[in-house]
Amino acid sequence: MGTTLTKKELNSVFWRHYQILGCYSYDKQQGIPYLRAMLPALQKLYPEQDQLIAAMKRHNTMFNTTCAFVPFCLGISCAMEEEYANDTTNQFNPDSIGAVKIALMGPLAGIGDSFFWGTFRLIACGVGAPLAAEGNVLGVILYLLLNLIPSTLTRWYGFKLGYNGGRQFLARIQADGTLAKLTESAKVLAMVVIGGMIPQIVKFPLSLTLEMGGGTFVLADVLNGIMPNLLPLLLSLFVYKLLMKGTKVNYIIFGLLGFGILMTLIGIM
Amino acid sequence: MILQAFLVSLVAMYGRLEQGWMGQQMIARPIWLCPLVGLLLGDFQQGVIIGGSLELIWAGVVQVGATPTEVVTGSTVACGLAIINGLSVAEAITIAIPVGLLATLIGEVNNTVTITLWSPMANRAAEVADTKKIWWLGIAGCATQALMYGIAVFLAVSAGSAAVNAVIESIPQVVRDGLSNASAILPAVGIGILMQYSFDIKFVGFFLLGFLLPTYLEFGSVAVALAGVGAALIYFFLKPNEVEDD
Amino acid sequence: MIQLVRVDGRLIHGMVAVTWCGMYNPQILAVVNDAAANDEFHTMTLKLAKPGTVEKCFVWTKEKAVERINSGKYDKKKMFITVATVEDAYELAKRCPAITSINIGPEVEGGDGRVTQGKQEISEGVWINEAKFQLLKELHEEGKEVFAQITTAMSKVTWEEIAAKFR
Repeated sequence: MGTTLTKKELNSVFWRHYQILGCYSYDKQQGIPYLRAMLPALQKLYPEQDQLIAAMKRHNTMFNTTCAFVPFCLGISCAMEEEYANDTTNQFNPDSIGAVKIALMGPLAGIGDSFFWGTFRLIACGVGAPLAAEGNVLGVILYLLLNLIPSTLTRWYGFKLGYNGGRQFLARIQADGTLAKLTESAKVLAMVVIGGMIPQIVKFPLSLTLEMGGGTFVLADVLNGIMPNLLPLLLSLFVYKLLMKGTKVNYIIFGLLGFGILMTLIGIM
Repeated sequence: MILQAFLVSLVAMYGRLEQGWMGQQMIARPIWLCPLVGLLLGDFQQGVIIGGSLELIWAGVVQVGATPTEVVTGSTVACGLAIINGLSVAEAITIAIPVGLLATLIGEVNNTVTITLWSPMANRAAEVADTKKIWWLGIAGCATQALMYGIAVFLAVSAGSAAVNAVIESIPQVVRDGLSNASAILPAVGIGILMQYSFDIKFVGFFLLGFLLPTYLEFGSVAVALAGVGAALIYFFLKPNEVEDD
Repeated sequence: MIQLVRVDGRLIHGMVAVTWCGMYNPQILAVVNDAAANDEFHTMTLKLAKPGTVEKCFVWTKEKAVERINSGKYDKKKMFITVATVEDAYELAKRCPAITSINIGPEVEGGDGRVTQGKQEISEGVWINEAKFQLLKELHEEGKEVFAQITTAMSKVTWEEIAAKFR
């Protein structure tokens, strides 16, 4: 008794988290790699074979959350295992270690997907993809940096924070409503970026020109006179409406391909 | 042709391993994989352009649970074929879409493998504290998955390069122009999907702001994002904290 | 108004917070689960995961949920409910007439995760057994909509298609 985790084990747990999707299975999802990541800590804390087996079984369970938040969960698990291994009063119920993992995985996936997928990746895409589509390498570099920087910081500091009082930290940001405001602010940012993407990436190449009574009627100019980028805006809103009604993405893609061919055939585009 | 197909399959396998062994940093995407394909096949610039264009169309397709399109395979195969055969960006997009759909089937096969093979093996290893086996198991699933995708991509590119020119040439010019025009409007799909997940009528003002900045003030993509940060900061600091009930 | 009851082993996670709430845009997200409601930490984490567009997130025991839903207090609000199992969805739907639509997602059986043994795959990634099917059948016969669909991006599997798997 009286073993504590040193930097060595903790670092090794952290680095192993990068393989969290290394054996994704339908039933346990990230379960096996989570156990694999915990091993350096478990082996240090439980030198006795039977204790180690019990600990391994404890972590050989279904787990799944956003990858960038996995280190935070691992940090909490390490702290709890350490507390249990050093518990001389038999007060600590080892079941709580699994219960905490269950309580963390779903909600953190909800937060993580909306931040990393819905915000950071979206901004990276909104900033980088239009540049790359024009052949600018800077677009690719910006895309990588905008994804990698937040993700790397979250992983590294998340692990430290998780190990040092992670549960209390969550309780605090939940109670004062900071995270709720943060997710809404992230949404605001996402809305601005999405709105800004439309004029930059959706093009509506109209080629219709008519000779009428001495004047030329250029459809594109007329529409631009009303409001530039009006058609890209309307089209995007139309696709959004279709999706909300449950139309499948692939139908819409093929529909637009057909629409493009048709409009070209009759000379509007 | 064989060597080129092999190089493309390397990028596809890297895409898988990025997710499995390097922590899924959300970069196994067209915008990063296509430039790599371009680099290996000797046309980096075209890779960047195809990558950026595909990213725009698939902006909304992501790995949140089951996905309707497999972007790693779709983008590497399409970009590889396009560069080998000198196809246009619009033609690359036309190839990428069906390939991405078909490739979801590989994922189905992989699910069966993991559930019948890896899970039971891990259970047995935990019973006897076989830590070495867990170490290997923890990375094996992704390795076999990468190999499966690698083989599929290799076959698709080597078989595809022979056939794709004939197919493309048999398409009438007006249809090819049509596809090219269609690829200009297709990014609306990406926008639509993104809106589906984030749009809320109470934030419509921010959406409008984002739309108007490039339309009337010629803001570039970086400037729009910075304006968005500004708007988010205003929101964060002006909104009072809510009190929970129940 | 109750938009949907979703059966999902992880209660709130990416699919629920991002895709389902994105699609339905509820004002209230209610998690109905006895174990979670009786666990202070789990209740806290679930509330933490409230999506930005949702006004309130509640974590209720089944008893409390039935009482709150039937009280009519939230009738004017768009409410999205998640439960962990088909059994919980059944009990809730039986006791609350306001529930008209039930979506089956993946259940989780403790540490074993998404067990597939002895079950039928009714939609990609969604597996149920005969006993659960019978419960759902009863709800269907009462005129409630029952369908399977893991994320909004996938196709909706209707009751007729589900029933065909259990013939």
